[in-house]
Amino acid sequence: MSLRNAWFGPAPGGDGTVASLPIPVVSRPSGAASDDAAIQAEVTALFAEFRTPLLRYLLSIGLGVADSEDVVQETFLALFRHLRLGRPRTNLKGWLFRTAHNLGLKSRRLAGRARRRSAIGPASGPILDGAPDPEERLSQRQRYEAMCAALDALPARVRNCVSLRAEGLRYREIALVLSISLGTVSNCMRRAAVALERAHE
Amino acid sequence: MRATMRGSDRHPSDAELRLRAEGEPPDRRTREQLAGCPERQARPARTEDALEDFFAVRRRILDRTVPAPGPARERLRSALAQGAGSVTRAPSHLPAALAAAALALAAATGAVLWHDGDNALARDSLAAAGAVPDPAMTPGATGAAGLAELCAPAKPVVPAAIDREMALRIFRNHGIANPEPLAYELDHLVPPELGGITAAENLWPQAYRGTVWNAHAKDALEDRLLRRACSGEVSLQAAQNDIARHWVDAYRKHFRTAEPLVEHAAFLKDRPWQ
Repeated sequence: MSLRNAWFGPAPGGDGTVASLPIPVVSRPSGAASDDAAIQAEVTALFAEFRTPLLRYLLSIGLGVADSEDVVQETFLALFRHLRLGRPRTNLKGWLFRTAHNLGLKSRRLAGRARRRSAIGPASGPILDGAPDPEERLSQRQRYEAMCAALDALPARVRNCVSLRAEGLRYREIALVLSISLGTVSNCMRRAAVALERAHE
Repeated sequence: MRATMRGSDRHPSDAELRLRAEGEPPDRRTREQLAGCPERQARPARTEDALEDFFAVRRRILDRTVPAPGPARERLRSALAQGAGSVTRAPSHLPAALAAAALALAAATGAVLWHDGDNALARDSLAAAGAVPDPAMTPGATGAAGLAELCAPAKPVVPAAIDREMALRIFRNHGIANPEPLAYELDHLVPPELGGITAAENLWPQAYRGTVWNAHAKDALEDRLLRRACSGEVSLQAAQNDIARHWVDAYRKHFRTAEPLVEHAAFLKDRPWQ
């Protein structure tokens, strides 16, 4: 096959064969490169700290492992942009969870997986390690499944509150992530606690 | 107990007690209720045990599902390295006012993402996520093949092989030092089926994961454009130009959708790099 090499942009040699697309020019202040390096280092450090809690949260709201990983990647790229634009650094933990929550819901809708799921992930999860004998393992699993069923009977908002609380967020942070009032968070946690306590009985 | 309380005819609710335990300042009525009813102050602790028990079990199970962080960390580092410099891009030929408006839009997009994650990622973020190639490095390139050749059913187009050295050079040029096998497609920006050639200017590493605008979606677009070109719905040159300029825009245009279609999430036409 003979090639005519029709380039969709400036040819490397500058011979202007077809050059039809303008190439965006980066216009940035001096010192931006070192700023970028510092922000990248900061984002990487936050990734090391919060990747696993974010993954657990996304799994708990019904995303699969691969989708959760993708959402976490998007979340940290969004954080990079957020910091690069000089936006506030207050409560970046809350910012990460809220962004992951929103992107997670979007991903779930996109994949058509908006079915109700347990607040702690698939009910057919692995049997717990460390139990002394098969009977005890079975007992633990049954108790775990009972807790899942108790939470599944509650609204998604309650389950989301529980999942965020399980990741160590304070009520005020949960309220920010889910865009609900502090009182609603407290009420959701009360409902979850009562349901779990009954499941124990 | 009720008779000893002042300022209210009821006990503080569990929700109020929880807020207090959380360190949130109680309102005046709740303070009075608690002062008159110390037993109630300990009440959340009972139900809190059930929650803590659940948290421990939940963590134990989900931690077994979470993959090792190494590959994800490298993917993020690679994306950040590629994305450096793309956030504040503005076309150089635009007037200053338009460029400022573009920057303001980019800033607003960041704010909106925080406010509402349902908003689509901006064009710049697509570049930052590695969803689209850097046009300076990968502008796209085509050969001389015409529609008659490309659409002939008996002669499927076989692109020239990409040797390992060339592949690794392209990965390096795009800031990927150690590409993960099967995680990328060494993609022809203009696919051979549409007349694209195997040249560095038409090749870029496209990830299967990291963004919904991934190699699966682009493969589906390539298939769609070939069908439309062969049926005469669009010219070959228009199809080539669309996919070379910005393949995500082309996808939106040719599938009439803002987001990738669900049925394309696992679409596979080209082989992954390994």
